[in-house]
Amino acid sequence: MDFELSPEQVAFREEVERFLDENDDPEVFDVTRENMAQIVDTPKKREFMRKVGDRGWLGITWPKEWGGQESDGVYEYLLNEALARRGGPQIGKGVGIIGKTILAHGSERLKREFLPKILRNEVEFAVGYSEPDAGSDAASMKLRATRDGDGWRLNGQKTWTTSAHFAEWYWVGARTDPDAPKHRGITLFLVPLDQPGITINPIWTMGDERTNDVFFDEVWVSDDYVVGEVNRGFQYISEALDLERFTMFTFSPIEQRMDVLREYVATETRDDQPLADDPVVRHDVARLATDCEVARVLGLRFVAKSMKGGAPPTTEASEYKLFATELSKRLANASMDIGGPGSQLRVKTEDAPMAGRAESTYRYTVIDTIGGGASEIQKNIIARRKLGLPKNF
Amino acid sequence: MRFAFTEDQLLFRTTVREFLEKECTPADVRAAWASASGWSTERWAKLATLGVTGLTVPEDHGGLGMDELVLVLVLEESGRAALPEPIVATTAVGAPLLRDVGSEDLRERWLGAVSAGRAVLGVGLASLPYVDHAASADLLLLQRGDELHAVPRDEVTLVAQPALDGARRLATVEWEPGAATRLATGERAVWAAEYAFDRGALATAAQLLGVSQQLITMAVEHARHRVQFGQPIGAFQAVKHMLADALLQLELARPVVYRAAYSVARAVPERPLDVSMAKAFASDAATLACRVALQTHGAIGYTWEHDLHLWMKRGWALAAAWGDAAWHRARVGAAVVPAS
Ligand SMILES: Cc1cc2nc3c(=O)[nH]c(=O)nc-3n(C[C@H](O)[C@H](O)[C@H](O)COP(=O)(O)OP(=O)(O)OC[C@H]3O[C@@H](n4cnc5c(N)ncnc54)[C@H](O)[C@@H]3O)c2cc1C
Repeated sequence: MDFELSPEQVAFREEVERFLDENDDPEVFDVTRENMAQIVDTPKKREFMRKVGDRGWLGITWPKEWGGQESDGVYEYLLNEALARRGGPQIGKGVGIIGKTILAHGSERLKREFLPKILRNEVEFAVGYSEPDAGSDAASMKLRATRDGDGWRLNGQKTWTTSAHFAEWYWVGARTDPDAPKHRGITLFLVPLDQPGITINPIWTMGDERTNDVFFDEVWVSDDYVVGEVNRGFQYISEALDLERFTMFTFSPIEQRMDVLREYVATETRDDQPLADDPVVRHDVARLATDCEVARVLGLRFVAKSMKGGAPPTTEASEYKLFATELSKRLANASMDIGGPGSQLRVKTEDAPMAGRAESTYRYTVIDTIGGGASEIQKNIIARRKLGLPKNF
Repeated sequence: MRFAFTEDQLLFRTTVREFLEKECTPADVRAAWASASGWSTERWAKLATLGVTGLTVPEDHGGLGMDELVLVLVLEESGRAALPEPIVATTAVGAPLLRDVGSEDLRERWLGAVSAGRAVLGVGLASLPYVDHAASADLLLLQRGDELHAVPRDEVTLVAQPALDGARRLATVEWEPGAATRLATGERAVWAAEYAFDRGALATAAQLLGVSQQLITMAVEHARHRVQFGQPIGAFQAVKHMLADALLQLELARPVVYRAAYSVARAVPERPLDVSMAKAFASDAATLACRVALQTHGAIGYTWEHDLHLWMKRGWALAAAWGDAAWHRARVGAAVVPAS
C-alpha cells in the first residue's frame, strides 16, 4: 500500500501543470461549466486538445503498436484530473471510452481509421445509448438496424445525445436481433453524423447546456463500421459504462469546489461574525473535507485496480460514481446554505458569494446522480454483483 | 383548541386554487418569466377581485381584514402554482406593516390601492440583502437601523441582481433616509421590522409547502407512467421510498407552519421561535422535494422544456430567502438554549 506518487509521477504532474499554465485561456478553461466543461465543443478547445495530443498524452495507456506509450493508467488519471480541475476539456470520451473499446474489440480497419485520429484529436464523438423509452434500462433500446446489402439500415430515435451537434462520428447502439433476449440483440455502430437521414434537434437543459434528440431515417451503415461482433454490443457498452463512471465523473472538480467553499468560509462573515467561528459551519466543512478525501482515495483504488489490465472493476466504478456524485450534491447544498441568501444569484453575478458558484454548482450537479447510471442503479449493481442479492426484475 | 381550519377558511382556499388552476398554468408562469417585469398585472388585478391582494388589509380600506390563518392557505396555493406575483412582499408583509405603523395618510393612500390591485409594495429590511420585485414596487418599505421608511420607487436606485427564479426578480436598493419618508423610529420601528421579518419567513414557509406539494405530485405522476425494465418506475422500492420520504417531510412541515401562522396572527410571545421552526423545517422539506422530484424524473426533468424546473428554482430561491434553514435553526437554538 502506497499513497504517495512516485518521483516520476510527481514530475509528470508538474510537467502537466506547467503545460496548463502556458496554455491558460478562459475560453478553454471554465470551471463554471462544471461537469460539462469536459466536452470539446469549440475550435479553441479542439486546438488545445491537439496540443495535448502533440505531447503524446492522449495515448498514455494505449499499446505502442497504436501510437501509445503502454504506460500506467495513473498517468492518464493524473492528466485527466489536472484538466478537470481547471474546468478544461478532458480525454474521457475519445481516448477512454471509444478508443479503449476499439482497441479491445474493434476490427483492424476501425483501429487503423480511428485510433490515429483520436491520438491527434482530429475527431469528436457523440455517444448514443439512451432513447425515449430506454434510459436506465439501456438494454431495451429500439433503434432498429436491419440487414441491407453489405451493411445495415438504421431507423428510429436516440435522445440525450450530448455533443451530437458538433461531433463528426456517432457511437451508437442499435437492435440487430429483435428476437434475442434484450441484452443479446444489440450491435454497436460508428456512423458519421452528417450522413443523409440523420436529423439532430436541440434539447436545452437547466444547466444552460445543449443535448440532442437524434432521428434516423433509413440511414445506411456499412459492415465496416460495426464495432466488434454483431449482437455483442451491449457487452461492450457495459464495459464502456464502467469506464465512464470513473473518467467522466472526475474528482478534482469536487475538490476545486471544496476549495472555493473553504476559502469563502475562511474569509467571509455572516451577521458580522466570521463564518470560520461558526461551529455549525465548521462542522459542515469538516464533514465535507473528510468526504472529499474519501472520494479521492476511493478513486485511487479504482485506478490501482484498473491498472492491472482487463476490464475495469464494475462494482468499484459504481461505488465511486455513487459516492462522488452524491457528495457533489451535498457540497452544493452546503455552499447554498453557507453562502446565505446571495447563493440564489446567478453565476458570474458580481455581488454573489463565491462569484455565484453556489448557484451554478447546484444547478449542474443536481443531474450528476442521473447521467452515467442513476444512483439507484448503482446501488442495484452493488447489491447484486457484490452482495449477490437476487434480482427482482 | 380546534386543530383544523374552518369551513370558510377552506372554502376560500378552494376558490383561490380553482382560480390559479385556470389562470396560472405552467404556460402562464413561463410567459411571466419571459416578460419584462417577471409577473402579470392582469392576474394581479384578478387576484384583487377575489380579495387576495388585500387579504390582510383592514375592511375600512377595502380589504378582507383576515389574518395569517387564512393567508397561509392562500400562500400555499400560490406556491403550488409557482405564482409569479409579489404576494409575499405586498400582501403578507408590506400591507400589515403599513397597517401597523403607517400614518393615516399613508394608509389611506396605499392600502386601498393594494386591495384594488393597483399598487405593489416592496420590503427591504436590514437583515435582507435583496428586495424581491423591487423594480415593480410602487412603494418600498425600507429599514435603516432603528428607523423604517416608506420610499416611492423613483426616489431610490436599484441594482438588479440576476437570480435563479425568473419571476422573483431581485435587486439591492440604494437610498437615503429623510424626514419626509420616515414611518417609525426607535423601539416601535424595531418591533415592526421584527414582526415584518417573521411575516415574510412564515409566508415563504407556507409557499414552500405548496412548492413541495407540486414537486411531489409531478414526480408521483411521472413515476406512475414512466416504464423501465418492464415496470412503472414507481414500482421500484428505491423510487417509492424516496417519494414517501419527501412526502413525509412535507406532512411534518405543514402543522409546524400552521402553528407559526397562529402565533403570528395572535401575537403570541414565542412567535419568532415558532416561525423559525416552521421556516427551517419547510426549507429542508422543499430542498428534499426538489432533489427527489428531479431524481425521479431523470434526464427529462432537467430540460428547459419540462415544467419541473419552474418549481425547483422557486423552491431553491425561497429556501434561501427570508432566512435559510441554517439561519432559522440558529435562532431556534438561541431560543431553546440561551447562551450562557
Ligand atoms: C446532462 C445529460 C447528458 C446525457 N448525455 C448522454 C449521452 O451523451 N448519451 C446517452 O446515451 N445518454 C446520455 N444521457 C442520458 C442518461 O444516460 C440517462 O439520463 C440515464 O441513463 C437515466 O435514464 P433516464 O433519464 O431515462 O431516467 P429513468 O431511467 O427514467 O429513471 C428515472 C428514475 O427511476 C429510477 N429507476 C429506474 N430503474 C430503476 C430500478 N430498476 N430500480 C430503482 N430505480 C430505478 C432511476 O434511478 C431514476 O431515479 C444524458 C443525461 C443527462 C442528464
